[in-house]
Order: sequence, then C-alpha cells, then structure tokens
Amino acid sequence: MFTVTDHETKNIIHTVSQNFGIDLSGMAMASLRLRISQFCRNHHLQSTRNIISRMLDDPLFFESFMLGISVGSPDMFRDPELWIRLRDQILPDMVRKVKTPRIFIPGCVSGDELYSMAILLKESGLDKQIQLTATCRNNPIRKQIEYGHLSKGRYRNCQDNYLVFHPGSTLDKYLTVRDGKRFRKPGLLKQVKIKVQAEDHLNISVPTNLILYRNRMIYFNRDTSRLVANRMLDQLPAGTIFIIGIKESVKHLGLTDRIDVVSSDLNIYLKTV
Amino acid sequence: MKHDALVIGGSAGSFRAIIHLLEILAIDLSIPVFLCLHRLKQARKGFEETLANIASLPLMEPFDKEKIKPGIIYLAPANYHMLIENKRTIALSTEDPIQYSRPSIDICFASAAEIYKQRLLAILLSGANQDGTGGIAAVNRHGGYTLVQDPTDCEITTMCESAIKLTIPNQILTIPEIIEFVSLL
Repeated sequence: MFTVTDHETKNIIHTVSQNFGIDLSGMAMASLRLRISQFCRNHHLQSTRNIISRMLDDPLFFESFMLGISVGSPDMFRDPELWIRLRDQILPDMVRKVKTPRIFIPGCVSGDELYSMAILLKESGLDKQIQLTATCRNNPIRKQIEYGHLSKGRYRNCQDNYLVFHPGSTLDKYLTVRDGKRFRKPGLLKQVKIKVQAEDHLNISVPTNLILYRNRMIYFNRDTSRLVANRMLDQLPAGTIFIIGIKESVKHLGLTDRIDVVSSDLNIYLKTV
Repeated sequence: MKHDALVIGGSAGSFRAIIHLLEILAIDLSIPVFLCLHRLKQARKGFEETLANIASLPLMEPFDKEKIKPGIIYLAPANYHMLIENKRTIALSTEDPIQYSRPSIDICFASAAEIYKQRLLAILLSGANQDGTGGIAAVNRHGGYTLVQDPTDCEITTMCESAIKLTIPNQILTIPEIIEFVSLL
C-alpha cells in the first residue's frame, strides 16, 4: 500500500521543487505518499529513483506524474443534499440579491464539482445569469477536465448521487459514449471560464458571490491549508458564501472568527471579516 | 500496555461483533481506537449516533486534521478514507475507492501500521470482499499484532478467509475470544 517511504517522498518533493519550481512541501504527507505509491504501481516503477530520473529526462512523464498525484473530487454531485440546498435555497436567494452573480471553483482536477455546478445551473435555467469560473493547476489538468472520461466505478457513483439530486432522471443525457467510454458533453462548459493558476497562490480577480472549495484542503498539511483558506478569504468581500467539504473543519482551519454559519451540517458559511 | 493504538475493520456481517467490542472496551483505555467499517456512502446520519450510544468510550467521526486523543474511538466517515497522518493527527481523503470501498480498511490499517509499527493491534472482522487483507499484511510487516475473526464464526467469510489465505495473522479467533482479548487491554 505505502511502498514509498517518507524519506523517498521528501526526495521527490525536493527534486520537483529544485527542477520544476513546484512546491509540494505543503501537501499532507500520508495521502501524498499513498498517491506516489499508487503511481509507482500503475507505471510499474520499482523505485522512486526511477521516478526522479524519468521526470528529469522526459517532460511528458513529469506532467503525467503531476496528474497522477493530483486528486480531484471523485464523484459528480457528491453529497447530494448539498447540491439540493444550492438548487433550492442558496442560488435562488443569490439571484434575488445580485443581478449577475459569480461562482468560483478553484483547484479543479477531475472537474466533477465544476460539471455538477454547470448541470445544476443549466437545469435551474441560471446558466446565462450566473458566471461560473474555475481554476486548475496546469494545462494537462485542464485537458483532463474538458476531455477526460468517466471510469465505470466513478460513473456508477456519479449516477447514484445524481439520482438523489434529481430523482427519476439520469446523468446519461449529459454524457456521450465513444469507444465504450463515457465522456461529459463538452458543451456543458461552454459558459465556463477555466483559468490555470497555482492552488496555493489563488488570485480571485473578479468579484465573487460564492466559492466552492470542497475536499481540497484535506490534501494540504495543517499550516498550508490554513494559509490557503485565509488567503482566499482575504480576497473575498464580506457576504461571500464559502463552502468547504463536509468533513473539513473551520476550527481546524482557523477560520471561526472570519465566518458566520449558514449550515454547519453541509459546511456552508458566509465570510464576515 | 503493549499497544499504542487499536484499529478495527469490518464490513457485512460485522455489526454484531462491533457492538460487543465497543461495549467491553475498558473505560480507562489509554490508547486511541480507529474503527473502519464499510457503510452506505449517502447515509451520513444515524450510524455514528447508534455506535456512540453503545460504546463504553466516547466515539466520534473525525474531521480532517482531527487531533488524536487516547480513549477516543474514531469512526471513519462515510465516503472518506481515514488515514493516520502521524501520532497526533488524522487525515481524510476522497481518493478512489480501494476494493470498491471508501473508507478502505487497507488504507486505514496500512497508514496506522506506518505510524504505530509494532505498537499497533489490528482486528479484522466479517466482510464480503477482500479489503483488509493488504492492511493486515502491512501491520504484520511493521511488527504489529493482528487478530482475524475465525471464518467459521463469520456471518460472511470472504474478508477473513482472504486475510488468512494471503497473510499470517498472529491469531485467528472467534468473537467471544476476540472480546476476551480486547477486554484485557
């Protein structure tokens, strides 16, 4: 399971930082080790020396490594009760108060949250009124978001979630099948702006009314997650809705003095200061 | 005390055993207990409360970066993997299911084995897939102590049969024997 040691992981972090200028030292160590171990298994690499030598030799391999150790929200409409609350209460309230609201989804990898929001907006007839912006770390990830396929297991999970969100319906209307693989219809992201940005140095340049940042800070260590969360809040005006993962804790992130609770169960907050 | 932490994994057919185990854990137990059970991903409420009402010790679903305290039972949340980041902190993850399971017993046990090494006690109970085998192997590899429920005593035998076939647990015990073992901690 954990075939890569702490020491080997630190060597990789050092190599990536020295040669590619990307700082992975803020990642949570246990899950990073797990993903590097899985990457080694998937690519039949016997040791981390192989990873280091190949990433230095082959830029495409490095891109593949960075993609391999990136974790996205694995399922569309994960925690369907959150998406129901967004559809039935949060977004209708928002469009009553603001003429053209903006939603920001930083740090996308698989794009599941982004597609879920795009579908929600389309089904609610809000896709023209609400501007949806997302960020991802680099162009290969952007390509994965736009063109990546849904594996069978993920498709089943997404479909299960969507059935709770929209009983009696099916996600299939938003998918196309090519060579036996399921892809999200690219037209779903027609109204969406996707920017390439480092996740730990986000620049929220446009006024934002809602930020959806779920299950991303669990992949950072405590100090980095606090830094990222506070940097993000620093850029948001008071009144912005801030949503984090259901098992992320505003207390552990050191945010309790900066937010009001909208729903503690679903981890929906309002930025105050 | 020979152990610094206890991990328990189970799936289909393990609930009866879990109830007994949670009831008999000593109220002055001075180590953390990590409980990784396969559960419905969308049933977030009710399970934790049910187990908390039964348990002799405080039981909670941890948040990400929860501090680990002795005498607390940490139940892996639905639809998250639970990892032991270090002796002080729990980490959660939404990575893909392992053996169709999230939370994965393999990940929970293996991450605990990395941290507690020979001071870890791991118990694997009844279940319907092979999750847990890799975890028991990891605990063994790090010198921890492993108990696997006797398949003849399991409601569903797949999980324990797999662990016994592919690893060498320290003991294979029935539920009454596991309960006796745990009651002496």
